[in-house]
Amino acid sequence: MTPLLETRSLSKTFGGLKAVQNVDLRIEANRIVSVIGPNGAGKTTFFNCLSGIYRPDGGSILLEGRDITGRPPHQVCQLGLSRTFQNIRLFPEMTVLENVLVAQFQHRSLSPLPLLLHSPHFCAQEKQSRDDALGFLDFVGLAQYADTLSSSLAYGLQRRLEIARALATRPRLLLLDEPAAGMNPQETIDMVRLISSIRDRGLAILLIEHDMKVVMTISDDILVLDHGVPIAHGAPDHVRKDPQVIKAYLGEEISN
Amino acid sequence: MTDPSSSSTLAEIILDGISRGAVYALVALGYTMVYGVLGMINFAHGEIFMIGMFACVYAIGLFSMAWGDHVLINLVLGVLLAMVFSAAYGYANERIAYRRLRKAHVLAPLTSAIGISTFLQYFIFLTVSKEKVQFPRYYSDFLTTHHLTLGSVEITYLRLAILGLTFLIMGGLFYLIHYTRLGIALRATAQDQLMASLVGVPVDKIIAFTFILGSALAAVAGVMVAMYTNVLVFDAGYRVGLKAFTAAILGGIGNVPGAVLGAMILGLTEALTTLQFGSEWNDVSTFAVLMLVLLLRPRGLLGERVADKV
Amino acid sequence: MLTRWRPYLLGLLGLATITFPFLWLQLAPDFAKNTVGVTWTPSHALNFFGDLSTVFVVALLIWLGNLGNRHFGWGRALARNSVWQKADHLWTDYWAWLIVPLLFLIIPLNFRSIGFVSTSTLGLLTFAGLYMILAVGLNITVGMTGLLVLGYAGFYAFGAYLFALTQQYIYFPWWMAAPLAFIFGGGAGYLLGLPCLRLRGDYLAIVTLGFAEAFRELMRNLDFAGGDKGIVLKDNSIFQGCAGLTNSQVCFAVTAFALVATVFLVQRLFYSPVGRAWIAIRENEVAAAAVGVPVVQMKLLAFSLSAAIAAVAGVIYGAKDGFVSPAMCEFQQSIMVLAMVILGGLGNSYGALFGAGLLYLVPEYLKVLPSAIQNNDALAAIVPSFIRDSFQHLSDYRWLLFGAVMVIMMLYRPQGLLGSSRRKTEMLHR
Repeated sequence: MTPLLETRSLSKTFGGLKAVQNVDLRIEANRIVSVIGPNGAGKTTFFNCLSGIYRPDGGSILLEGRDITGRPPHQVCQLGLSRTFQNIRLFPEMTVLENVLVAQFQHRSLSPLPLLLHSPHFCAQEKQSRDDALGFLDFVGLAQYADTLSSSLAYGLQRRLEIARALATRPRLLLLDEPAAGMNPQETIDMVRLISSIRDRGLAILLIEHDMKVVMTISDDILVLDHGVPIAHGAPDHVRKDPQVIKAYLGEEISN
Repeated sequence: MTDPSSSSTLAEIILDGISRGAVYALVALGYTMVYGVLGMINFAHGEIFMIGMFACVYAIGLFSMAWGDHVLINLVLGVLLAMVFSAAYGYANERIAYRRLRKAHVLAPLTSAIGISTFLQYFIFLTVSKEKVQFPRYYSDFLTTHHLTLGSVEITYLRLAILGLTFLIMGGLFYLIHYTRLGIALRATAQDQLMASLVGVPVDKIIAFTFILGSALAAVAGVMVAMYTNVLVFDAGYRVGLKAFTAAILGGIGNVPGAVLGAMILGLTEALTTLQFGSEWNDVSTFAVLMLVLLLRPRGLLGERVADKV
Repeated sequence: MLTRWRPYLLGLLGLATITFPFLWLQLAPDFAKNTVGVTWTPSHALNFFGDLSTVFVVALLIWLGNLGNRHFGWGRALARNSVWQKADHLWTDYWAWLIVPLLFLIIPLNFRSIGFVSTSTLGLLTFAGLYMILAVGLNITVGMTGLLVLGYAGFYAFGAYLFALTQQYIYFPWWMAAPLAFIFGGGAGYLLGLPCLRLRGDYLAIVTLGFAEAFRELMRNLDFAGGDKGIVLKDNSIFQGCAGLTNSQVCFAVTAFALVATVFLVQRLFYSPVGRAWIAIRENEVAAAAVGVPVVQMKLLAFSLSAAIAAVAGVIYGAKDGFVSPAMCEFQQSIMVLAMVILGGLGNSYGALFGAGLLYLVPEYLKVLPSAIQNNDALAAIVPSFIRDSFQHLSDYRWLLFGAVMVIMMLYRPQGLLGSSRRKTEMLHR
């Protein structure tokens, strides 16, 4: 069976810096895979390659067996891979609801005549997408804020809105870039709960996270990157004991 | 090929092109430096150039009233005063219209720059002259009528001065940017304003300095053009500004050697167009070159592709 | 107190110094010796400030109003007054967007029998309507998608020339020229946008500016396009009087119809996935792409649509005036339309209509105001003559003020006078 996502020796360099080198990763449907590693390990670059923001220099990316290497971001998203950003990127002048509505772009028919004349079909579609959007907001717990400006949301809620927006594109794989960054313990617990409930909807999740408690509790698989090189890959318990991982995180001497 | 007249025409065209290019380069440097440091198009830079033109004539007028028509003294002082004035306008520009918009959406500073540009044009239109003003010939005659003969090519002193000054300034600028503390601070500011300010670079002052320097260079170009064409007019800055800006884009905006290269290419294109089709086709050929470069090398000739930070 | 005001005083002093020669001195060329002198002419500067006195008074009033708003909450009191809120509803109600253009259409035509609207007023309104179409069209790119276009008048002239040339050389009914201009104008926009829309937004600004300049130069140099003098069509106005309407009334009706159609088109697109995608691109391009919005295509759509609208406006202009010249795509034209969009409110079609009306009609009315005051005995007695003169000169200062308005709006009210009523009302809509 073809995995949901497969990368084959994916590489990206910036000038002389090898940001990502020969990463091989397989993600099966309905699993949570985490990418961890020290700062500057190339995790976000890896995400940017997957979501089409960077064009990888080598290797290939297969989404459900289809080659998406070097496709522009919007096509990658339309093929079923959606993401959030480490530094939140919402549409600040739009309401919370509108932020989610934008993400339904690819599922809307744009034939000009029905759109201009407001044909019954178009109106029904418009209503449907509002209902869906409200559903996604409800799922992440933002339904009551539907009409507020997204820039006036609290930080933690903005992260949730980004997730709702990513879900609204109806992906099969969701990339979350440090969803729990800057959150207090309670918010982190809520976030973990949200992530597992996303998995319960049948999505696979690829996660970058620094909070080891989060990573160890929810991941099925962990990929460890150091200086762009994958140094370990496996179940949380396996990775936790890997000497190379300990060395990468804590330095040479302690691990000896 | 053996016909001497055709070869001299070619040499003259190249010379004409290079001296046009030199003037464009002086203005283009201002655009490209501001873009390099702030990432915004200082649309009002052409008007600073025009202010330089008028300030020089005013200064000459003032000096000739004060102590008579001494060509050399008045001209040199006039150029210096024009530089000071243009620099002051450039600084005021930055202080009033741009400083508060540094972190705004790209459209905001650009729009405000267009506003300043329109304002300055019509300020001069309303207060100085609605018509063309003549540059005092008494001061430019010496430079425009005397010339140096090199083989079959005659170079007027004015062209010589334009070329000499431009290359001198270019060299100075190169030295300044690459070998002085100020240049290091400038480059640091261009790369990362926040980081530069954290390591003690006075970012506001550096940005103001960029505007002042660019404006002073534009004033020099303004005086040269005023002497060359003999005409000062309130919208002169718009035309030259547009050309210089195109030159900066051609070379890769934000890139100092690129601006010079782009300006030279533009100058030569214009000189060739003038010869082949007549000067009225200059804008069309300029636009064609711009579109061609954007199609083939979207970041300009010497521009680098910079990935967006995500 | 003094320390607080010191920077402002120093700034004013600095500005006074650098503007000193241009304001207080006049150049006195000495043609015999080919040299130059300067003369001290304080009257010159005093006239300058005198002419602008009205502006200073208005600015002072606005400043005081602002101060009052900050300290006594005048604005909030006004907002509580539900008239404003109702008006806000009106903008987004189902059919209400038709009201303004329809009023625009009906009033002048109905008053014909009463003789209320003179031909010249009708002409003025027709031009205002054309500017409104242009402003609404430009608003798509600048306001909604966040791309700056500096050569918008280039497309306006493109449409006008397309019309004039087809009229001149091929027999062509004018109403067929409008769809043709829509298609060709859009195509020109598409071709122009294709290479530069992949790059940073400001490249488009400069490329369109270059296009307008090059197009003007081209039309000026091509003999069949009439050169500098432009093209004068045989019938001065293509719109002949019909159905008991005069020539200028037909012009007006056509303009008003085009305006209604444009506003309809733009508003319908705005409140659809397309409009949301445009706003998303304006707000954050990377995020828009990441949620599946094809950024380059949507930008191209916005830009070609606004180019097409300008081309249609150009056709109407050509048909109305019967005269097309290279001056149509002067930079000032583009700037004027841009100033209308910015003043009215970026991203808001009604703002654009409002801005166009304000910036076109106010200077035009200011021109006729002095004679109107003079003709009216009561007003002539009250209004002192220097204010009258100041009104008269004010239209000379139009560009100076446009420039200042653009800077001031960007600094203090970047969302424009009407702002964006979109966000509050998205839920109320439908």
